[in-house]
Amino acid sequence: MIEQSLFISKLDNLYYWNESFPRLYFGNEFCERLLPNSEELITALEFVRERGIEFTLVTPYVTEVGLKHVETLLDGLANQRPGTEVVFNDYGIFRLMGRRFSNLVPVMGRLLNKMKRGPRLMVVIDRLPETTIEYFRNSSLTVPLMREFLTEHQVKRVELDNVLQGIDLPVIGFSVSVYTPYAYVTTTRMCLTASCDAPEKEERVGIFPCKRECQKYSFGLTSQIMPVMLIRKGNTVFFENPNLPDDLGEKGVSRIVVQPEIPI
Amino acid sequence: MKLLSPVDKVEEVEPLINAGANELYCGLLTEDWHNQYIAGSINRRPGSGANFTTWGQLEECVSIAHSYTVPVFLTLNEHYYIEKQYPYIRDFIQRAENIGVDVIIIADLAVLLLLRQMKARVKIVISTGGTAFNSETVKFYQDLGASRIILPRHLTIGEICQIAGNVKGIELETFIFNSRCPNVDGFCTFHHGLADKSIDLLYRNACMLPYDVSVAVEDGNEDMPAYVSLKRQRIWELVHVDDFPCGACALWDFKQLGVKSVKIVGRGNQTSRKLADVRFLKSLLDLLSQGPAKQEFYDVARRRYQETYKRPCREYMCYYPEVMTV
Repeated sequence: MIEQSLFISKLDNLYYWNESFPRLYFGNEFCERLLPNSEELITALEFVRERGIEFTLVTPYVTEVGLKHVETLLDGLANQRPGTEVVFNDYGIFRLMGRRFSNLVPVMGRLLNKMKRGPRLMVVIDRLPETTIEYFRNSSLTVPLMREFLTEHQVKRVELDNVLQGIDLPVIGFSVSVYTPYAYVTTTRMCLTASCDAPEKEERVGIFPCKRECQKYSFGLTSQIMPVMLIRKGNTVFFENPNLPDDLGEKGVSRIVVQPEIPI
Repeated sequence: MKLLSPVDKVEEVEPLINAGANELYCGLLTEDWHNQYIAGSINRRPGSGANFTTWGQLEECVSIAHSYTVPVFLTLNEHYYIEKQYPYIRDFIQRAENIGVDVIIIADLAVLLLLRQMKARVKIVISTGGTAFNSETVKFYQDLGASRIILPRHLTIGEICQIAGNVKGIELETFIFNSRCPNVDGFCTFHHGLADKSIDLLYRNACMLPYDVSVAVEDGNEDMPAYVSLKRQRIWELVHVDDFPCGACALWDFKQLGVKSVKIVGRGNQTSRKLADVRFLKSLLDLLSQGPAKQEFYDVARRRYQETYKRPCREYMCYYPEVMTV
């Protein structure tokens, strides 16, 4: 039986939850500015407690500032709900969890699974050697040293995107989640969405303050060579792939993480 | 502070060192890897033009560099490799050690674990692909044997300062010139070079494609965001090596922070370009050694950039644009 989890990045989207979701993912993978604060985390925890469902906190890659923020959230989570899953997309957060939060459960996020997602690959894939195709459908998670290291450090679950070229991981010894329908392709801290409605800042490409314009605007990027449209939401580019493989169970997938909206 | 320069050809080694490079980095793309994994790079540069192509060339590079006591860093920094590739990777590391390569640059945690298991004698440098955005990540790699971390491009000087203040016993390296990748290298899953140069839209990095941009607005006026986004997207098409992205002013700040080395991007660039970049930055490191005031250094750096590259400083081509307000 494959579990369905609901992934939201803001409390306003709690309305997407229904009884088909025995688990709620909450947080952000891509931007530390969009992490929930402690009060929002408490609200989310109350929501899952009232409904008797499981909870997973999602964390992004972080600077020193973001690291402190995450540490505060983990402090609260460890006190209120030991045994809770935390998706890490930053080996610093992984190390922090090992040092200070051994009563939380580390889950390796999709940013740390480096499988290529660029949709252009589909234009040429039929012309590539079998060895190359095998590479693009696989990941470092099949390397025994990697598996042993992660297992030794209490990682039992890894998160994957539903890439267009297909996933062909041999049974890898972890529980596996697959995200749907949005796969991330790339991310930046030079956010093009920041100040995108301020014409005097049209040439600003760097790490600058923002007013969370990402909550208002998203952009479609099309190119004659891209087989699908890319979607820029905030600082990250995604594509939509609603077609889940039929044999997910055989591939070791035990959880589907449903994103009703792009989680930015 | 060291100056790390790319090198792709044996005949470049001596001129680059004479120009001021005191560390060299390179890639090696052998025919057997290329034939099997054509678009699956061994080191983020799938084309032979950005790599040595034989072990003999690499050995000669190491020999010449060592005659000047300059270390050679070899890239093995693809973001991931699969299990089937490991016999090659293991052999690659052993052969690199045997011919005297000093450092291996890696991005994949699994390769770091392999180097540890092999008790490799080479120094280990974590590529920008290792995404060390904070001190805890630096310590994660340090715990596993890394001796240097190449920090991501996407950090401000202030953020680098915070990291430097919270780590010790490990070298930090920062980017200083060329290819200001618009996306976070280690989290970018686009492909580099899916075809040769004859098929431009597959050869170019995906971030540099001329996209059409449309906007979806939840409320409000969509004209301005669409215009600004398109304008910025066009800028993104330029920010690789083509238009001389530069962080030279920040050399002054990096010296204060104890940054060990600064990196010039440019594997695959023409020799003349590599030499110009090294000379430009070496002249500024020489000035820095005389202890100039910050504003004086910034002024000279900007003037020399404009003189050397015949273009003005521009915020969107500045690695550390916070220096533009000083």
